[in-house]
Amino acid sequence: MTKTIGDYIVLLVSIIGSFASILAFGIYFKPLLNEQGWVGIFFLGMITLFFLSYNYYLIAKYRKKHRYSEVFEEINVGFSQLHSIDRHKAPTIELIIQKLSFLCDSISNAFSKINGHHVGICIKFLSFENNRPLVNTLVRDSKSKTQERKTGTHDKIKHWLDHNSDFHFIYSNFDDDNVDTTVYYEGRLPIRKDYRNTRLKKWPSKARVPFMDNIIRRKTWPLKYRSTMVTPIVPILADEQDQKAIRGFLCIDSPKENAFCPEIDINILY
Amino acid sequence: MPLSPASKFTVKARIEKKGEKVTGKIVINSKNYHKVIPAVLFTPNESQAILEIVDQVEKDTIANIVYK
Repeated sequence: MTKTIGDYIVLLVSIIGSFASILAFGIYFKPLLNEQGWVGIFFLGMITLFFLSYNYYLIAKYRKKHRYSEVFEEINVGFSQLHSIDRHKAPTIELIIQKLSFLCDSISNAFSKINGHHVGICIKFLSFENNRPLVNTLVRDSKSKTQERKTGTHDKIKHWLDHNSDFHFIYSNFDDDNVDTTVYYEGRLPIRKDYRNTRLKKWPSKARVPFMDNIIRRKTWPLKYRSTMVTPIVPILADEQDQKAIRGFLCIDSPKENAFCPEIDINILY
Repeated sequence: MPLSPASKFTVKARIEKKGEKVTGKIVINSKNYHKVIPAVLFTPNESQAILEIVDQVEKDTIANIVYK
């Protein structure tokens, strides 16, 4: 949740008010209370704590939803980059790649605005080697690139399609009407025991510790993201195109757990 | 989201040529399961060429060169 100056002022006033109340209670009211009074104070305290927590939950929930209305500008800027490709009579591949990179920046800015922290975006394309499908990163948003997330020939890892849970989920359920394959979403990657990723070869290395396993997994999680959302790039409307052909994948990830609302976020990307 | 174990599946890429038209497919097989998903698959040479162009575009973007 993004903090505002108002939040800090409220926090400061709350802390001062709490200390003043505790002092006043100890000096003026405590000597006058009997057992019944203590039970009453305890009961009121519990109700206050409950409403404070509920209030915090409501603010966090609705402040985020409110921010969805602020992302259209960023999204429009991003898609204007794509439209500018259409206006070219003979767009070069360099131009297309650069415009897609700018699109990633815009989508990243939009999701970062919603979530209050940097959200990484990348577009992957499909190739193959020895008849095995591979996934390669075509473009990323600029900020991800400064965080050692590689693109182009700098990424030396072979990202086999079947060794990554997110892609595997989409293609293994692609025609299944009972499973929504418009998006793969996982909000708690570090504790997802069956999550597979080609960057996770030597993890987890240590033996499992009962009751502490999830804590250790979260502490030692090596990837730069903890929530991810992956959607296949497939045209919604295609007259002469093969509509079902997967062009690639759009990946969105966040360094925080449970960062996304897939039911809302996926609609932004259509 | 439920995931089926990867070990159950064999996943292969297949390229088919009909005249000038080249189509790519991802073929998934397992016991009692067969699926062919059309996909835009680049050959290893094409893929390498794209990645090299990506490197060049990255350098140009850092140098504030915007393609028009």
